[in-house]
Amino acid sequence: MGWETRRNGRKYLYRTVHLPDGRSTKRYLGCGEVARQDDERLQQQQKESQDLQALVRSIAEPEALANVFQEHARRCVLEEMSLLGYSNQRSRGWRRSVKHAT
Amino acid sequence: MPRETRAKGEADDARAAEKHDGSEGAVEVPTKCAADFVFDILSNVAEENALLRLAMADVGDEETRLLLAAEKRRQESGLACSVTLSSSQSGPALPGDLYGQCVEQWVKLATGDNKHEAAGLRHRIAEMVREMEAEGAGTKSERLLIEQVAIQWVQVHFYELLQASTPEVSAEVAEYKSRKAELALRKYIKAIESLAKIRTIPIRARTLVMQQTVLPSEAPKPCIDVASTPAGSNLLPSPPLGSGEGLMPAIACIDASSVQQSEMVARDRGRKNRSTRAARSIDVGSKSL
Repeated sequence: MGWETRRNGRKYLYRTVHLPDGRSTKRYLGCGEVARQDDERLQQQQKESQDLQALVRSIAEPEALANVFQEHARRCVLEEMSLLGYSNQRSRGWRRSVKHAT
Repeated sequence: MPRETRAKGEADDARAAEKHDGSEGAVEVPTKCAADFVFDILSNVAEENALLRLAMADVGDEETRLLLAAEKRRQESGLACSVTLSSSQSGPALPGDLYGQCVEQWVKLATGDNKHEAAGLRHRIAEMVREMEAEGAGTKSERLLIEQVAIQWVQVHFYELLQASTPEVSAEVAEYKSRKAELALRKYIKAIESLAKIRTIPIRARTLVMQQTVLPSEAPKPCIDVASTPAGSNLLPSPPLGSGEGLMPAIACIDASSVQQSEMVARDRGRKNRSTRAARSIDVGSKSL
């Protein structure tokens, strides 16, 4: 993480923060035992975030394919049922249209 | 022979022997393990007197050889079941086969590099699809919904495995996984509901009519007397009289009439919309005045 060693030999923990305007700055987090614990916590968070991102990336393509298939199936069923004279208005369920029922 | 050359030759021989041994070991050990694995499956299935179908989706030459070895052992031992090397059940997804590609990707996600588990999962999906198809009327929309149910089922399976396999430290990741699992389950239930709703609609009769319909290539072609038909007339040739003949022209007539009806309905609707719009504009004009 962002440990910086000063002339006195002590280590100080900093964290890089990206500002909305594009600049980046360092934020002081502390030194000593408390800073070490913070460092561990931050590393853990970073690892979990990376794991989550990897999971999302691995799932993205199959999910997109499944969504495309779902949309395709939905449209096909809608077309076929409307040709048969059924409608599913407001997702209430397939009912026979009035013009076809008469 | 100089000492250096001899040493080099010995080193080469030793390396070659090591490579030879390594390659032999690398082939033999997994071959034995996988053949035993397949043989165990066969033995278990034989006890239940069932047919084992192993999906051969991305099975290469090595796996084919293993399965054949297992089949040979089965024949030697006299078991009652057989390995079906079928690529038609769940073969490699062809380009344009969206369902196949989708299932393949989810199976790969759920099972990773474990080919046996992947084969089992593919077999289970194929079995599920076959059972659902056997219950239905076999229309295209039903087929699509069945495939959708299968895809959603694989997703649910994957997310449940994901939740069960890795205990989470972070609440964020756990929440993400549980949310995805819940969403997949909801979609799965919705797909099943759609399929059930479609099946409640009495389209069986229509399907039967379509199945009984004589194909245009097989149907007897009606004779058209060009001399007797008036020039420029658009009349369809009348089907020959007789039971079961000329169903296709009848359907064509129905389709044509339904198209005409739908055109008329659309025209009426357009007229109605125009008149409503005109009335509204008049109202607005009178209010503004």
